[in-house]
Order: sequence, then C-alpha cells, then structure tokens
Amino acid sequence: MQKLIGLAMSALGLTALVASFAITIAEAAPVGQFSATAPTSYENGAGIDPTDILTYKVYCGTQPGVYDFVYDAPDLTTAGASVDVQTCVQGTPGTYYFVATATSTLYATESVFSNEATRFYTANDLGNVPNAPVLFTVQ
Amino acid sequence: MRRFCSRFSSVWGRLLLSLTVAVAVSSCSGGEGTQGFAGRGAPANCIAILTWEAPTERLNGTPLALQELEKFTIYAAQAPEVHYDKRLFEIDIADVFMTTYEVRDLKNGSYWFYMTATDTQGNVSTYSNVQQKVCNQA
Repeated sequence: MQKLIGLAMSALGLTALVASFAITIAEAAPVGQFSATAPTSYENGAGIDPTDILTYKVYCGTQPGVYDFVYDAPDLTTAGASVDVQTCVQGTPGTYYFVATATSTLYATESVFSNEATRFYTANDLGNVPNAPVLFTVQ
Repeated sequence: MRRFCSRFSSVWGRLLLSLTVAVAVSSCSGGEGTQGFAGRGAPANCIAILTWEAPTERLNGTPLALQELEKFTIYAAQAPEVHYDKRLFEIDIADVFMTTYEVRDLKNGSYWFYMTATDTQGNVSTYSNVQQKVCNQA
C-alpha cells in the first residue's frame, strides 16, 4: 500500500526523494568511519515519515564525481558507523572520494548524492609499509 | 675474511655527542659489513656486532620479498628512546641480503641501536626492538 502511495506520488509528479544531506569521513582504510547529518525531509519539502526507515549507501572512487564502488552502509547518523572500503582503495595510497545516499524504504527512492568527502590514504594507513627487521640483536 | 665494504659519505657535528654520520654500503655483496665510528669518550676500540633478519611481511600481512626491499637503516642513539633528537648516527645498508654488521671504534659509553627496513617504493617500516651496547674498556 505504501509503495502504491509512492508510485501514485511519482505519477502525480510529486517527488519523495530523501533530501540531500552532508557526510564526513574519518579513520583510515580499509574501514572508513563515516558520519552524517540525518535527513529530515524529502525533496518535496515534507518531513520524513516516522515510519520510513532510511537505509544508506556509500560510494567510493578515485576521481571527483566518479564512483566505481558502492557499499551498503549502516545508519551513517549513528556514531562510529563504518564501511569497509578495501575493494575501492585496494591497498593503493592516494586520494579517494566518497559520497553517500539515503534510500526511503517507504517510497523506494534514493536521494541524490551527499557532499563529496575526500581522504588521502597513506601507505601507512593501508598497512602497506614493511614490518620492521626481526630478531635484531647487538653484541 | 671479513670484508670492509663501506663508503664514508659525510660527517657533520655540532658537538661530539650530536655527531651524525651517514654511511652507504651499497657495494657490499656478502652477508655482513663494518664501519668504524669514533664517537664518545676513549678509547675507540669497542665493536658492536649487529644481527637481524629481514621482514617477510608488510604490516597488513601481505608477503614481502627481499627484492621489494631497498635498504636497511641502523640507528645509533645516546638514549633508549626511539627519537630523532637522540640519534648519534645512522647507517644505510643497501645490500638487503646482509644480516649482520659491525660498528667499530666505538668509544666508551652506552649506545642504543635499532633498525628500519625501507621498500623500493620508499615506505619505511616501524622500528625494530632497541638493543643496548655498553662500551667500557680500559
């Protein structure tokens, strides 16, 4: 029934996209720790329906605006929400670009991209540095 | 016969205790090397024999071949802390097949040694354990 309402709204030209929201990223790969401000409305201006559970996705890429990987994410508005982005960074140091979306389960609509968050991953972030020499002794 | 295969490249010193020596031993092909260093106090005939094994993995657990290493670096310090300000001198060892090195002509005093490994991409390892050498010769 709710999806029918969503379809009807779409047919009437009313959008029920979740409004865009902002994200930040912290911590190092392979697990990026994200935070986001909770969306409060749809793009049509209506407040988020209390029964509408939002799900999140994180997109990752190596160029601004180009995202090659998408990950289902936990609730990004919860502290400590993290996403394993190892398949995107693949142990390669450099700058990576992330955006997130929220999807309305009520209307089956995905928001536009959030702001783009960037992070530079060093070899050390990625654990790509050699281990230290071992069994070191001095006589 | 132990090969002396080092090339003394430069010496700077503010005071005797902050003397810095950079040595490259890129010509070494065996498993060991030596370098004389007349540091603090007297006399200058103490020898520190350092041994180690190359790391076989990166920090993230991926295998690390010897061919992926560029050099080892030995640090000598005047205190057990792994800190730049405490370093007396450092020695680059470009032959990554080496597993032992002699630092000769150390004057009386305490020295702390530790090492790093650097790969061909310039990534530097964490520090090894720190080992002390006490020179107390009459």
